[in-house]
Amino acid sequence: MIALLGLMLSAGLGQSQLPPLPPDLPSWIRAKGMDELYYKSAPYNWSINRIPKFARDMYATGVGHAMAYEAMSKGQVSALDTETFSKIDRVLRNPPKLPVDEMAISPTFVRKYGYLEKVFDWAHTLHFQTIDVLAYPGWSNARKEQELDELWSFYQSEPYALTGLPMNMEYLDGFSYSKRFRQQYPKLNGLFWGYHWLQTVNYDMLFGVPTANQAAQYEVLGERYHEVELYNETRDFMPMTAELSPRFAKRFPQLANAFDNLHMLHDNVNDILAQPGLTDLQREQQIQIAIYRVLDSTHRGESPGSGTPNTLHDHRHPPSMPGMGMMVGSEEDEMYMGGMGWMNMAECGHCSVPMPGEEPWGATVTANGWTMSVRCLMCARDMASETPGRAIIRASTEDPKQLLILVSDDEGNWTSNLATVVFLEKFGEHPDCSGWSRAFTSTAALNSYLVANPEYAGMPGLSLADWSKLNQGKPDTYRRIDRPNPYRKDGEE
Amino acid sequence: MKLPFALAIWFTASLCLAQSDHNNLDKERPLTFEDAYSIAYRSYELQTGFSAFAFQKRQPQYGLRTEIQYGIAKNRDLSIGWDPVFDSQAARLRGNNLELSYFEGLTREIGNSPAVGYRIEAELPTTGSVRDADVRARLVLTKRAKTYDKLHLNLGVAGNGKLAFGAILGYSLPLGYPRQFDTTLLAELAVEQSRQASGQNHWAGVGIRRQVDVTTVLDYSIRMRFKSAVTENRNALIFTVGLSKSF
Repeated sequence: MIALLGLMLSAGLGQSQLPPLPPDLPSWIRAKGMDELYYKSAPYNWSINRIPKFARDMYATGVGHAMAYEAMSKGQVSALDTETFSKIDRVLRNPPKLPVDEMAISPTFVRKYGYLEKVFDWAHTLHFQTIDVLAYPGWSNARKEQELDELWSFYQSEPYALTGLPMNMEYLDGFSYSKRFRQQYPKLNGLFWGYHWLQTVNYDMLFGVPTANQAAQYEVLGERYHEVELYNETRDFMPMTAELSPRFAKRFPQLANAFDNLHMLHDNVNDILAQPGLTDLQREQQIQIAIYRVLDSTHRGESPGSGTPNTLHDHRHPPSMPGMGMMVGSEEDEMYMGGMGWMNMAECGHCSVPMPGEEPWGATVTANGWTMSVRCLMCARDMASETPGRAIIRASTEDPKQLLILVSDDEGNWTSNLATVVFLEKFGEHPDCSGWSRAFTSTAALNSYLVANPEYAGMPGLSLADWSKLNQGKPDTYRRIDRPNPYRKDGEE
Repeated sequence: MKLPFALAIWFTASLCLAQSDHNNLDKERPLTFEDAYSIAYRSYELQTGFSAFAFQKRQPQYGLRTEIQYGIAKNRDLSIGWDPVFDSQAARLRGNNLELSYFEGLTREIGNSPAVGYRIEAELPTTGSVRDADVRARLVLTKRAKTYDKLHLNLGVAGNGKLAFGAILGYSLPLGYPRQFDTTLLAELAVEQSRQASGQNHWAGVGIRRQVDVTTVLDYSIRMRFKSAVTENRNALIFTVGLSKSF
């Protein structure tokens, strides 16, 4: 009886705090048509299938979304972490070979919230076409970058488009119903955040990477996805695109922000559908409001970097990362990152020295579920060696068109996509490490660099095997940001 | 009769290996009914299908239907189709009419209300004779039946002067859920007023739509015309195999 009273009180409290419908709710939300849209016609469509394991896992995420929404729409919330989880997990372990029509397997959801499905479907199309562009072997990197800009314009031409502006994530996740889903259904929420991990980690796997070198990275990422990320119940917040694909997010901030805003909309909807005590009408209205908050039309005329803190129109972003809104507790470039603690995005994740402002941009390390930007190859290698499990290093070379991709096994043995790669490493002061720790596509390229930079004259080029054996340890410049976890009241890590 | 039976055996065998199908149902692919949804805005779809008509009292006929659809706007598509038939008894190829068709989906399924759409078709004679021209209209309702299966009611009227009415009750059931997601079983029961003689035509059919790759759907069906106003068409079996490709 007391429990029932408590439930009623909490439900009543929640309802009284529910935000009202905005007066300028777009009319398309009430349109009755199915409004199905075809993707942009282009030669790259379905290039995702060039990486079959990745494609199948991505197709399965659609099934996972749809099955969960169907169960929630039918009011089957008590079985979400049991029967629904098991049903979805079976599909994730045996992913479909072809994309699945999500509407066909979530009929109740679509009958109730067809307008929401339009938003999801259009944003998922953007997800897939972005991947297709990056996985397409027929175009140069420059042509692909141009196409992604065009794809973004194409996406924005529809009223269902989400905003590409950074949004304040603390605000978007701060309503009376917020966090309900992750707290009550941690297993199913883990799957959702696992899908969103996969949907955001993949962009740096593909961006600027020769298509022949993309699938090898998925061996590492796919393993991590299936073994850890899908079943990770310890995350404090959903995965962010800039956390997992910082190179991509920096180059295409509007895309990165749209994907994060989409994933936050998923979280909002999950929370609303899982919230007890709401009437069907209240759920419908709250979902419409959640859509409204992240629509492009709601923020038209506004610009990134502006806005009143912690409001709907807060479009500030970390100064060094335009592809991410402000996070819980974040200040300037400092943010709390799951699995890493507090990080400064303007600094090297390994030596804490500010990242170089000009090319080359250094490297990224993907390991243990996170991706960090580092200043140089030495920082990348040593950071990866400090982390258990397999790792991927993506590093610039002297040739902007040739990205070095290093993939390690569990023992830390590296393989390279560039057969003739040669390294320079003359250990010195960390603030200069992007000068003395670098990769070159050939010995000739190294020699040219040595001629242009006489301070390194006489340094031998290191083979991958010799370079791999080096380890300079934790840099003395490393500065740990000692602040409590902002997502936990007790501040525990 | 050998060809239709060979096709039937081949497709029955392929059905055992089938993994998939698609969900958006178009007229004649492979049964005569359709659902209340247009193709996607901006998409093109090429549909083609071979049909064999096996009769008890006359030699078979063979049809090769081809249609191109285009999603001209949200919930609206236009199509142009041609359905020539070879009559083996008369050893003659009938060009038949050129079909111009407009479809509009008025509403999706919302709550307990069905999805509703309509189609208007004009048949332009390839013979040049205005008497062969025809106009048809069809109202389409689609509603979820139990879980993933759907009922589709198609109510049609046709006529160039004299009107003829018809109704088709269609049923679609995705097969393999929740483990497989790409095959749909179809069935239909139809009745129409004959335009060739006094009386009605009745037929029933079953079919399969199977997704073979991201843009291609293979379909096959068998229909039986168990009542026909034209005596020699009675108990005809119609075997169809077709392909839809979006681009």
